[in-house]
Amino acid sequence: MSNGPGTPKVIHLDANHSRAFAMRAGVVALLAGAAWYGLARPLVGEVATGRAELSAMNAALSNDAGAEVTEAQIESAIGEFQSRVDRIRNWTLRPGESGKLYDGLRGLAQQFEVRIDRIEPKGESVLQAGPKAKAGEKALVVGQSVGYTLDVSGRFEAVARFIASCETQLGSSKVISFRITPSVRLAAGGEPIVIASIETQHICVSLEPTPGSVMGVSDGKVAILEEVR
Amino acid sequence: MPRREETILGLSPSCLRLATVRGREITRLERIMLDPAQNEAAWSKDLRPLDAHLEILIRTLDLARGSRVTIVYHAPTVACELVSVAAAPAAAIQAAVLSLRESLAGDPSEWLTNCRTVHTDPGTSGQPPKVHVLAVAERRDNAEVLAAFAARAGLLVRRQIPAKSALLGSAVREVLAGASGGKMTVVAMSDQATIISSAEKGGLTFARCVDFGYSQLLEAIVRGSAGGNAEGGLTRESACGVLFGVGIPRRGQVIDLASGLKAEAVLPGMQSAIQRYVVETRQTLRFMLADGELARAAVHLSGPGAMIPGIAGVLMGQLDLPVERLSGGPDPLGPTIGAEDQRGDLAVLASDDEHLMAISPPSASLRRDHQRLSGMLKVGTAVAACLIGGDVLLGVRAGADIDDQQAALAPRIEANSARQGRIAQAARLSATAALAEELVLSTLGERPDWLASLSMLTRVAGDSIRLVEVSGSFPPEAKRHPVLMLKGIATPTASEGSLVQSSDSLAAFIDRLSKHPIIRSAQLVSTRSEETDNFKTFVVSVTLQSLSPAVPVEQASSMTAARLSSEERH
Repeated sequence: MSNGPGTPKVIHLDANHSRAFAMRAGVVALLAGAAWYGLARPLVGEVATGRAELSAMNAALSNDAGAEVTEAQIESAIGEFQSRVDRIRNWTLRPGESGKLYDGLRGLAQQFEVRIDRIEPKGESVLQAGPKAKAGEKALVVGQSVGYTLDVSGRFEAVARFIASCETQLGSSKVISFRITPSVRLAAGGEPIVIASIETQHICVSLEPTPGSVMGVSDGKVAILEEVR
Repeated sequence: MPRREETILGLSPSCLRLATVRGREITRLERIMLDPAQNEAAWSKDLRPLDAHLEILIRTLDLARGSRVTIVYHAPTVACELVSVAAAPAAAIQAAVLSLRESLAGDPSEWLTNCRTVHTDPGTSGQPPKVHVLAVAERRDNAEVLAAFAARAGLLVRRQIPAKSALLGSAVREVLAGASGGKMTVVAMSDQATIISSAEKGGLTFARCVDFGYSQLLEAIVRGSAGGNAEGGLTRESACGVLFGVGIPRRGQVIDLASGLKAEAVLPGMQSAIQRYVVETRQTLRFMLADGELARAAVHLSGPGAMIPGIAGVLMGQLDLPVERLSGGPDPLGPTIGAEDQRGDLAVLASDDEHLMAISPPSASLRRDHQRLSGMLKVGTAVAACLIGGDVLLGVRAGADIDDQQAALAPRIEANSARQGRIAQAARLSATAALAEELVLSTLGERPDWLASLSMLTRVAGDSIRLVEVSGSFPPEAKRHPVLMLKGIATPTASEGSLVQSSDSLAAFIDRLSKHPIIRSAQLVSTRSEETDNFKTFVVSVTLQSLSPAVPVEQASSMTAARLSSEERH
């Protein structure tokens, strides 16, 4: 009899079947893996990314600290703050404009009929505005102090007005000290002349807002919201 | 609900049968008679000579390819044995396996075996009941030949049942059923085997299978018709008709009118076959029954061979024992006396399906394993495809859903972002304004009204006071308050006809200073009298009232005006 079990023919058939089945299973597993890797996995990644973005959007909406503040309130606040900044900008000079003070002092002397015998800049120093800026941050405000030493002569009343106007007509300026003494000279009308030695200080401020990370803004935001409300 | 139709293939040396069965009822049956002399040759050629016959039967019954078939077969290599042991069923089965293996030729691994307990006798006191185990063995290669035979015809083998084991098991149940109240001896007559069994009061006395059947009677008719006057002899189908129509003929009787075949032509061969029945039955009864029981024994005939007319009478005359057909009568689904039961051994399969012992060839189990594995692979592939498809579908839907939600939120996010930008702008402006104001105002500090202070001096001094030096500063010892340091000379004056001393003039001057609203305090620092002319030189320190500075409210500030005037001059 042929084809009995135990004969090489039957064993060969069985081994072939097992090998074929193993190959088919392997191919199916490979195809399934490739299909999952090529189709499902990228989709799963995209969905995960989309979910994360959606969560971030929802969180941003739910954590909106200024949700109750209206646009009109914000615009009103911006207008108010802008006007404050503009007032300071108009009142002060920029650090690069300190030379204009010389002209301003000359103009005042001419206006009040005071003769400037000597005018001499006293030196400049940088002023620190607020806490020191961290690395990578830029200061909102950069200040500079400029001083002059003047020797003027004129009638007492004119000199007094000149001293006062140094504070009132030259913006953010201050008369630090002065010393008035009589002069031996007389004015044209025979009026006595005084000599005054005056020290002034002038504050120059740079208010140019810089884009990017600005010191103190994030902390001030909450306060601003409170203020706006 | 009607059961599914199944297919049965019966293979014996004399006949190839194909039938369909629904439940236990054979619904369709076709057969082809075979020459038993060609049986050995057919098996040696892997049953290929029978392929054409099987194809004819399949076409006749219009069976579809791939139909599952149960094969009941006679093969020269099948060994079947009923082992009776007074032991526990498990031990009895072990004993049957050992007994069967001892009777098998060659390596035991070349054989497929199956054992089953067919009956356990009622127990007697003190002794374990006798357990009757039916054991069957078939060569592996023969089982494979049979499976391949069916496979070549497009049939899938469900079970392969050796007919001997089926007949033996059926005969045991038949004799036990008949001897439930007393004693019975049954001779089951199949075409290829005869089972002689006896039982008493629920206990099986013996059961013996003899490889001899009524096909010997059929062969005697065929051979007799070929060797007599009949031209060419009878076909096996015609001989079958004669056997079951005429039965055991009498001398001088014409048994086939068409051919004129007479009883004398077939009786010698038939007598020889009948003699074999008689000898096997008598010897079996003599050896297996107790002394004295043989004389009282009555023999009942069953099986298809019991339908042969006159067989009972002939056997009774030669056995000298009462012989009759089994009292149960013929099978209602079978033929009546004098007609052949064409179902043959398939009748056993149809009547007692669940107790049949099957031989499963390794190829069938391998095929089942492969089918199971293939099915599992297909299911796994489908599940994987469904999972991946579902994953992709869910991913696509989730992605679309997220896109929709993001699109719905986008305007709000954009508006929120713009608003946050505006709020940040406001914060930046506020911080800028606060820092700048704080820088400028804190640096400037408090300031007096210098013009008013100096103007006040000319009014307050009067004629008696002559100032020679006026200086203004913010000395640290005055806590940075504005201070006027006045140096001058106090002179005596005449007032309303009297002379006012310089000291009094100085005191009055200081008093006026102290009372002036823009002066915080006035103190005499030093004084020195010039006795020659009654003058007093003095130094007076005047601390002024001061005001906190403020950023001018007007848009066009003084600085802007100064800047403009400067530009005009240029």
